[in-house]
This record gives sequence, structure tokens and C-alpha cells, in this order.
Amino acid sequence: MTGVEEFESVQAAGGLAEIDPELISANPDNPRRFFNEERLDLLRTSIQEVGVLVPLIVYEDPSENGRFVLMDGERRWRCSLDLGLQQVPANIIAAPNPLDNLLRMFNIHNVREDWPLVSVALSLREVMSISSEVGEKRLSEMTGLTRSTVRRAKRLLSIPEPEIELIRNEAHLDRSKQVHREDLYLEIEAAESVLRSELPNVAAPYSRGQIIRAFAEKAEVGSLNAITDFRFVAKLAKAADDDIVDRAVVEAAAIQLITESNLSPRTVFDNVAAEGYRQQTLQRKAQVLSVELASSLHIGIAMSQALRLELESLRAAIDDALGASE
Amino acid sequence: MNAQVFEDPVKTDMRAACEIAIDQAGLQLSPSLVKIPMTQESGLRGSLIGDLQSLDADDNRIFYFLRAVPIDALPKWIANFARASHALDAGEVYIVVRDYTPAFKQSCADAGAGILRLTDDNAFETVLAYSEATPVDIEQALAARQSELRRGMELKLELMRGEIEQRYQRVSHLVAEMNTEIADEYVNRVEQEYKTLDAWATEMSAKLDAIRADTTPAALAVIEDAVRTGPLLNGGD
Repeated sequence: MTGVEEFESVQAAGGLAEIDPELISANPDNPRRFFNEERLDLLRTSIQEVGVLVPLIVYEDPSENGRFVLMDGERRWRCSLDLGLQQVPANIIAAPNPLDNLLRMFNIHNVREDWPLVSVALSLREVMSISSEVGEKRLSEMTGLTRSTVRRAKRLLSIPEPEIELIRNEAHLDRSKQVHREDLYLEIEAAESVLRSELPNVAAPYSRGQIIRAFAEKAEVGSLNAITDFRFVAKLAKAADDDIVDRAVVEAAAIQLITESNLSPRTVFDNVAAEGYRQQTLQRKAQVLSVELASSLHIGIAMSQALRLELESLRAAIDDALGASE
Repeated sequence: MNAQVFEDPVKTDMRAACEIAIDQAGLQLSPSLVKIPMTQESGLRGSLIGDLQSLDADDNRIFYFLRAVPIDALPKWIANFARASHALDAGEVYIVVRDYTPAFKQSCADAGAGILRLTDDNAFETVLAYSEATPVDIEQALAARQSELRRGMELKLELMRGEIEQRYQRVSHLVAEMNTEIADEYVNRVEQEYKTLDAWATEMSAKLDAIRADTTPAALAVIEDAVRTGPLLNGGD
């Protein structure tokens, strides 16, 4: 039986009643969300002129006699309060167990609202804690979230609690006004993992939380061009792995990256590894050209005048470059 | 429990500023919001309540509706309350804004609502006095057409929303055998359809709010056509 089917069977057992909307409380498992006024105007007008046509779904508040907890119909409930309705129709269902309550919140609300990822993550943490289920596929089936959302939410949950709190505190703001954005922390989380696995000598003296904090500070002081700057951490580490840059140089730069908040990963990459990557690209192009030329000569194709001129020009450039580097 | 618990923080900030402005205007902030029930003749449900209320020395009450985001037409539910307030004689209705357009001012004037502009130093500047805003009666046929269009839009919205939700409820079965990428794409598409529908409904509602006594039949026909056509969703089968 799916969460929705269970929910419907419980609903069928309940009774329809008229309830004062002021006696209803928000569901504690419903992540705090803010609706803008314009999105509610349509519903307010409809309720004012026609009434609440679809009953709310509530259960009796186990902690306070005579009060109810909202299960479904948050918008209708909020509009009813704004419109000063004395009563609203509501289906009263049996109080669900905590896991049921959480899963119903997911199943009822998921399609309707753009929950911030941090809200999804925190609710998912509750689901994992109560159900002991941690598998991505199973969690996706239980909650109706996409598997990639479950994965992203779990990654967000892996960052230290104080950082999660910073995200939560800004979740209601417009994205442009957020500093501690969810996607920033997903980038930071990935960069920290790369640093720890690829440059273990650098990461070892620091806890995961310390590195995440150090990277978050870069966003706080405005030293990032974009949150994707953190992808240069992986490229920096790869430069050591691929012998593009000496490992000791990369490690020194990575330490600087952790300790200096005004230094962006992109700047460090540009200073330390960008030239190495450029030379690697040239090397590959030279290899390709060399193989192509050898292959052309081998099959005996006559060289065009235009190609000969280009190759002579290239030879001069190569002579210059080699002469300069000697 | 009240709606403030979930209030948009922008509105919460405006609420705090208004409380200062009410005090600066020499009025007393009403500690509890009085509900003035709509009469049966009004055909409206609920009570005039507003976001804030104040009293003067003679116990004259003002109902304040706060609008943090600029709009061009007063939402119909507030316009309905403003119109009704003139017959109820329960107090004055003011819309508090930080900024306004000429169209919004006209819309408030037509509905019989006053406008107060909240200045940066948390004071009220009267843009339109309630006493000068006399509700303009919309011709009965136009008002009936306006309601008919709104109900039609609401019905279309409900049907389309119901269809999307039904599909969404089956989604875990539908995507069970799909690979992750295709499954995610399917779910995201359903969610996107829902958001498109929501945005369309908000836009239509604002257009219906903007219908005035002098709205031309041609302008009305445009809205009617948009309601009949509905939103352009991504297919969704």
C-alpha cells in the first residue's frame, strides 16, 4: 500500500466537521515555507466569493485538547485566516504516527511547492532516522522525491549543523540575496571531498567542518567570482596527479586556499596550474600534428603550397620558442 | 495561531514599520484584530479584518492591508472588503504600500479604498484618503461576466491541477522501472507543469482584478480568450 493509499484509507475513517481556523495549528513536520501575497490572492478571492470547497484535512492535536493539526490544505487555511472566516470545512482523521506524518507531508506537498532543498533535507533526515532507511532508491519511493534530489539532500546533510543553520536562516530570501546558498554548499562539499581524497597531506590537519567553514568564508567576504569557482579545486588537485605541476607546489597553494579567506580557488588555480594546463594542451596538439604529418608523408600525398607556408611559419615559431626556452 | 507565523519576511518587516508609522500618526495600534462579518447581502464570506488595525481617540477604527510588492490592480478580495466597508460603517480601509502606480491608485479609488505610502522613515503619507474614495459601481452585466470568467478560470485550474496531481501520485509506480535520469526528467516535467499552471493562474487572476467599469469589450475578450486557451504545458501524458 502506498503512502497516498494509506492516507486515503485513514481519511475515509474520519468525519467532516466545521472548525474555527484559529483552532488549527500548522503541521510541525511541514517545512516552514513562505508564500508571496500575489500567489494567494487568487485563492482568497475564490474563498471569499464561493467558500472553501475542498475540506482541509486535520487531526486532533494530541498535546492540546480542542485544537487540531493541519495535514492538508495549508493555503486554504492561511487564506481563511486572512479572510476572517469563522469556520472552515475539515475532514478529521486519526492522528498519524510520526513516520506516516512525515511521508504524508512529502506525498501531499511535494508537487505543489518548491521546497528549499534544505527543508527537504531536514525532513528526509527525520524519515531516515525514524525508518532506519538510508537507500537512495527506497527513500525516493517512500517520499516521491527524485533520486537526484535525495542524493543532493543527503550531501547537504553531510555538512556541519551550524552551516545547515546558516542555509536555513536565509532560505526564505530571494536567491540573489542569499549568501549561504544550498548550491554553494554542494560545491563546497564536493571540493572538500576532493581535497581530502586527492591531497590528503593538506586536508589531514583540518577537520571537515573547518575546511567547509574556510570555504564558506570566501562567499561571505565576496572573494568568489561564482560558486562554481570551487570546481577549480579538483582541477588543481588533478594538476598534481597528472604531474602538470609539482605536488609540493600544489599542496602549498591548497593550504593557502584554506587559510586565506580572500583567495578564490580560481585565482589559486590561475596562479599555480593554469599555465601547466595550457602547456599540456599545446603538447597534445603538437603530438596530434606530429602524428598527422608523419601519416601524410607516409602515404605520399603531395603537399599544397598553402600547407607548406603554414608549416614554415610553424617551424619559425617553434625555433623561436625553443630558442627562448634554452 | 495566525497567518503571521508563515508570513513572508518582507511583509513582516513592513508590518513592523507600519506599527511605528501608526504610532507616529498619533493613533493607537489595536492589540487584537476585530472581525467585522460581511452581511448576507454582500454575498461575501468572512470578515473585514486586515493585517493591522488602529484606533483614534474617538475609537474610530482603521483597517490596514499591507502590500509589500507593487501591483497594478487591487486584488479583488481586498476590493470587495473595501466596497463593503462603506456600507458597514465599521471603519476606514487603507492599503499600505511602499510604492504605487497610477493604475493601482485608480484601482483603489474605484474600490473605495484609501492608500497610505510608507516612507523610508516609517511614516505614513496619504496618497488617497478613504473619505475621498467612493466605490464605483461596475455595471451589473460586466460584474457578472467578471465573476463568470473567474469561476471558469478556477474550474479550469482545478481540473488541470487535479490531473497533474493524479499523475504525480502514481509517479513512483510509473518511474519504478526507469533509469534514474529518465525518472528524474519525468518527475521534473510534472513539477514544471504544476509551476507553469500556478504562474498562469496568478497572471489570470491579476488580469481579472484589473477589470474596471470602463474596461472595453475588446479588452474583456482578450482575457476571456486567455482563460479559454489555458496555460501552455509541456504535454504531459
